[in-house]
Amino acid sequence: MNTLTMLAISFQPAKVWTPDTGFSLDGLGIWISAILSLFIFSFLYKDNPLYKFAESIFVGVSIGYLVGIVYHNGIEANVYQVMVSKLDPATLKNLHYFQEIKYLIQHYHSLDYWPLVALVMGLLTLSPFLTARHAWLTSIPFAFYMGWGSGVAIPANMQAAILAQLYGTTYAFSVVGASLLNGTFNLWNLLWTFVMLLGIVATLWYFYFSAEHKGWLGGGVARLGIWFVMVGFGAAFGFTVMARVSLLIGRIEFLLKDWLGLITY
Amino acid sequence: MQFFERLQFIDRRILFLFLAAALILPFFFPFQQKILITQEVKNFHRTIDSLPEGAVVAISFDYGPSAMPEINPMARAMIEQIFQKNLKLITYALWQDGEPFSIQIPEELAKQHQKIYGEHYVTLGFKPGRVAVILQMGEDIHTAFPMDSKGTRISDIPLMKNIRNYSDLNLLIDLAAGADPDLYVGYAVERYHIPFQAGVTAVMAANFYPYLQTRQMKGLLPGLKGASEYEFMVTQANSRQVTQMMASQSLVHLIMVLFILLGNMGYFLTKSYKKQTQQKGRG
Repeated sequence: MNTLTMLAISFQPAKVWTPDTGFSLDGLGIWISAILSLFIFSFLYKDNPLYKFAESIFVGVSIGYLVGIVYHNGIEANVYQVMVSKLDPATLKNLHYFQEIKYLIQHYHSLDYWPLVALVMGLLTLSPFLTARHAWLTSIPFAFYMGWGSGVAIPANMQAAILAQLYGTTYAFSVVGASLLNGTFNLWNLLWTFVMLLGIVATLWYFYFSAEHKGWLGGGVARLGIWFVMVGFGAAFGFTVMARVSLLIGRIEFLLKDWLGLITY
Repeated sequence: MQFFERLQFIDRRILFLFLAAALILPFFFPFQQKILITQEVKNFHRTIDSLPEGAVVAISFDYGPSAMPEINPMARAMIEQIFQKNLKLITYALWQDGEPFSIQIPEELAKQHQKIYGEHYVTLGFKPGRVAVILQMGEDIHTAFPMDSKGTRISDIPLMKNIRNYSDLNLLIDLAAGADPDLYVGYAVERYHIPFQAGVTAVMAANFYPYLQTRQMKGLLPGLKGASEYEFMVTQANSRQVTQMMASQSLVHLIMVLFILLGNMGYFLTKSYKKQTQQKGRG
């Protein structure tokens, strides 16, 4: 049996409706997803209305999903649920809208009002969209956020990205030194530790702009720094290509397996 | 000479056709490749393997559907290993798109391993705020996540009763398509000293290698390649899905390298030909 015959036999596209199981929402989802994927792929040929249509749907759905989930998992869970945490959850669950509001008003003294401060601060960020006269109100939450953000981020990044990395660089030498003493010395480890040190010094020198990079030493070390930076860019670019290819493979697998049923696992 | 000049300007659509063929053919004619396991993946596996029975592992799902092909195989293999070792699992998401994966994958594998929700695993769902959530979890997880993904107060869940903050967790893992591991290293590892490792998309992987040397990360799974190595370590064999994906990946890389070589060959040969012609003209 040749490959084409085998493909023809295994061709079983996703079904939206079958006499046995009736309408399938999963099947419809697969068809919509596959068609939108093809619309997006059509950009490889050139820009066209089908691509624009799929792109607009993607943006709309993403924003809609974001708003819904942030309301449910953020505002409802972290504001409303915290406010009513001292009330009986079973009673609240059985109440509907107006009954719930009435119950909350009756038990106002048992509510926790602190989450409202955060909610009001959040709402103030929207003030420029509501009225130009009160746009200045937005600076209150942003001042708070900038102050909090800087206070939290500066020491954390200093520790994680600078001090810990400095420690890591010197630690590598202490590991090599210890290996000399305990008899586990490995020449490759020593070589790579020196390469790392050379890379750090040369790259830092390349980005040091207060002195001119000239002469056999200054210019040479700066040039070596460029080489290290280029190797870093190359590694990052190689990983980027690998990542993008992986995503494409994933989509093609979806089209061949879930949509067309040409392959099975 | 025109041939070498043309090599530099091959229509991108011809390249797309070659890439499409290289990508699709291994799905119908799969070939097995030798899996060489890298040190960072071995360390990742060893960190989970060395945990005692009943230890608690938290996994943060910080990726969206676009990163599914790379991260989902990692997530499956990881939860497989966690359930095999009888460890407790907590999942949550700092990306809104990650929430469905943080619920579906554990539930699917829990059925296979007969694990009970609330006793062996819990899914806390998505929480907006990223840095604020990471910091708040260090103080009180019950404040960061008052309810689980099903709407139950987490203080009523048996597994969560004795877990208040990072000091009650044995390991934290981030499955990320972005820079979230940087946030975990800065705000959870350095501040609360919790053991941490990550599984990331290949595009982000190069950024996190420095954390391995400083031990701020115990292990790292970089992209689909890392996923295939790790899956092999957990199950002692790669699934057909990952095998075929890796075969496509390798073939596409070969085609790309070939075209890069051809383009460069065309560039240098054209340049040398022009130089020779100019010299002859002067002579």
